Parts: sequence; structure tokens; C-alpha cells
Amino acid sequence: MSAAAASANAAWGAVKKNFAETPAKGPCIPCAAAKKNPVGAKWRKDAGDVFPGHQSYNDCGLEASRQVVEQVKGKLDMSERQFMDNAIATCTVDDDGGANALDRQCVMQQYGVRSTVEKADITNVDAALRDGKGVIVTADSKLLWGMQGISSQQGVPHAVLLTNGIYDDTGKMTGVWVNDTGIGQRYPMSTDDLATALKSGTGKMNVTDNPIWPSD
Amino acid sequence: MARISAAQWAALDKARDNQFRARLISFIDTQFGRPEGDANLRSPEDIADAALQFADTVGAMTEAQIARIAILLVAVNRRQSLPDEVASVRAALTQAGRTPDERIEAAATVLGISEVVA
Repeated sequence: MSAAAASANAAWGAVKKNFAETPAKGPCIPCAAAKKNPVGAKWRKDAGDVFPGHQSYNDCGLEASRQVVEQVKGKLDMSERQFMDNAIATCTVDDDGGANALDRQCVMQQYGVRSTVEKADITNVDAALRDGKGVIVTADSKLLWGMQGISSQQGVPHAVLLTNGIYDDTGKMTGVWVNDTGIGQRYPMSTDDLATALKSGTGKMNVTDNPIWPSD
Repeated sequence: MARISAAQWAALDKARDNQFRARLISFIDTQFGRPEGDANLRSPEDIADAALQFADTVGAMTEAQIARIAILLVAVNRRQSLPDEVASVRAALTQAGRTPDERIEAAATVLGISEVVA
């Protein structure tokens, strides 16, 4: 047996004498409490304050991106049209404002907000929102708005900003709040409905690298 | 009774975590010594931190389990394990359907580590 193997075997035997079979880390009481519902009053207020209302162009993804940017950087001194024109000029955004996930990533990056494009599913949404990150998802507009009781003739891929999760007493995410510039409304949506909505979208979502919402 | 603030709880948690880390480093140092002259060998501090980080992946919760993970990491490092062996150890430590103890035991078997019986 080599010296290294002998040392490892001896150390293996010495574990019992030196370490207990008890948890090395106890529950972090304030952390556990915070994880049950990380969304505080300031977060909820900011989620409403950043919402611009109804979009004027075909720029749902840009307006969602702008909310993220303004939440991080503060209110931008430019109109919706100016923001869109800048995005068209600097990223591969369509002339009418249409933008995919990579375009949105590019636009946010222009204002110094780094993000990644992830698979759009409940697990990833939950993790990102719990961390206070900015999350933009897409869904079929007819399906999404139909859930809000608004009927439309034809669905199109539509981007919205998810501002925060809704949690039950055990800390499970039971829904999310949606900032939807397509219909100019903010609304809650159950996790089940969100799962359905995500499946109708492009399958991709934008998640900021850093938290954008207040921790209180 | 005095109310303990969130900040005080956090400080207590931090102190406890630091204390366990220090004991783990001391244990590795005692058992294996401090590597000198070989940049490929990781320090006891490095091993302890890696073990603490990897513990979540394995599902290891107890002091003893984390200490055993540290030993596995030392063994892999000291043997300058080949990629295949490292992959086998990692696979054993993350195998689905096994308890943390079973995973650790399986990884130890890969490396030929067994408890010395006096």
C-alpha cells in the first residue's frame, strides 16, 4: 500500500474520533424566514413604480427590458420611441420594435445591465425571482391575455416582465406578478398558468446576472 | 428574554461555520500534512473549502460526512488522479437514488479507501 493510500485509510478511521454525526450547519433562522417570502414592501412598490403602462409600438420585449434597465439605473431620460430607436440602431431589433431574447440581452447590455438567456421553465423562474433578479419571459399573447379574460383574434409571441414571486406559508412559489405592457396591466398569475404560458412562448427567458429588486 | 436580531443570528451562524471550517483544516493538516514544493497539491484550506462547497451536491450534512468528502478530495489530489478516476469518484458522489453515506462509501471504494480496523 502506498504512503498516500495509508494516510487516507488512517484519516478515514480518524473521522469518527474527530467529527460527530451531527449537522455541520444548523438552520439559519433568519435566512429560512427570508427564503419563505423574499419579497418585501419596497420590492413590491418598485415593481409597480417601474411599470410604464401600455406600450405604443410592437416593442413588448424592449419595454420589458427598459423596466429592468430603469429599475437598475433609475428613470431614463428618453421616450419609448427614443429607447426603441436606440435599440434598433445598436442591436438586431426589428424596425417595428420586435425583439427576441438575444436582442433583449443586447439592449440591456447597452445600458450596463448584464444578463443571460436561460431555458424558460418554472424552476428557473423560481430561482431567479427568489434571488431578486430581473426576469423576462415570452408567451403566446392570445393565451396569456385570455387568462386575464381578454380575448384576441390572433396570438403572437409576447414578452413580459415577471417582477416577483408569490409564496405560500411554506415558502413555495404559488404564482408570480406580471408587468404586461401589451395590455397595460399588472396582474398576478398562478404558477400553473405560468407553466402553461411558458410552454406557449419561445422557450427562452432573460435573467439578469445580478439582483435588481430591493431585498426589503 | 432578550430578542436576538437577524444580524446577531447571522453572526452566530458565521462563527459556527468558521469554527467547523477551522477544525476541518486542522484535521486535514494533521492527517496529511501541508504540501510543500508541489504546486499541484492543494492546501488544507483549499481542500476544506472545496469539501464544504461539494457537500451540498452530495447532500452531506453531518460533520463526519463532510470530513470524509475532504479525505476523498485529498486522495484524488495526492494521487494526481487521472480524469477517468476523477470522473468515477464524482459519479459515485452524485449517483441518484443513494444516500449521502452510500455515495461517500462508493467513492471511497473507487479510491481503495477503507476504514482501518485495529
